[in-house]
Amino acid sequence: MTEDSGSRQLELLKFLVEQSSVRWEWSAARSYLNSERTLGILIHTALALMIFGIAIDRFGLFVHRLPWLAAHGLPDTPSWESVMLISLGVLLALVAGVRYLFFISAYSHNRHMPLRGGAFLPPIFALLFAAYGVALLVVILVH
Amino acid sequence: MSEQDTIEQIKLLQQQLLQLSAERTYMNTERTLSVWVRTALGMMIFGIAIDRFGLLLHGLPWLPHESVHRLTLSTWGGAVLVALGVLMALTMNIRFLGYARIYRRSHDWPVKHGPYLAASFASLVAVFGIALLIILLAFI
Repeated sequence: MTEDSGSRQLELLKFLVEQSSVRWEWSAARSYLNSERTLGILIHTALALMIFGIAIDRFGLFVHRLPWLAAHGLPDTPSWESVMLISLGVLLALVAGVRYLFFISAYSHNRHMPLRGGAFLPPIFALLFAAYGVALLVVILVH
Repeated sequence: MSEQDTIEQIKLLQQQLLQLSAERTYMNTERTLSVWVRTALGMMIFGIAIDRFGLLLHGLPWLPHESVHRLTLSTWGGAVLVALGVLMALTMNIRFLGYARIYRRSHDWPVKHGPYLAASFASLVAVFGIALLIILLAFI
């Protein structure tokens, strides 16, 4: 191997290492975005659980208030299915939000966040939504 | 093929791979925005459902005249959710546009994949949510 050929190969290796490190960064960014999307989908699932819960509860109330059924004196208490579904939604949003917080704190140790200025927005939304679910539960149980 | 040609070809392939990797990441970001917009829409739907259910249960014609208040707990509960949806669509959109601006500095957009479509739809959902909020709080 000539000296010229050796230096060309060394230059190529340096180039490859440089390109690989940039590609590694893009790959890490994709992992981060994937995790954020997972949180978004989990919030969506929590939302669906709560919607189902509230639909069961409200339809139950509506049916109990129908004139031909109201005479039977059916209770206006919330059904256990609705309470369970809303609680599941709260739990899911809460657990997903906290898990994501742990993930981004570990991720940001040695990498920069791909979406600057908004890393904490998704878990904030998850926790706000969980808080809303808790309020909903209180209203359903107390009201 | 000479050694120099091979080296040049490897370099070219690497650059193309890097561009593809960047494009995949950009599309990931756009898809992430889309998921957030869908979640925001879900919140708005939930908000409206809560408000309308409250209205329905308070306004049943056969019940002894339960007064239909303009702003019941259900309306406030619904409005909070719609507002959360608007906030979600807006902030995620702003974040996406910031990312797209930084991305454009170093890479080309994927073919016919500028940020305009996703960003405009996110903005439209936010505008729709604001209109919904006004209707919810101003009218029954």
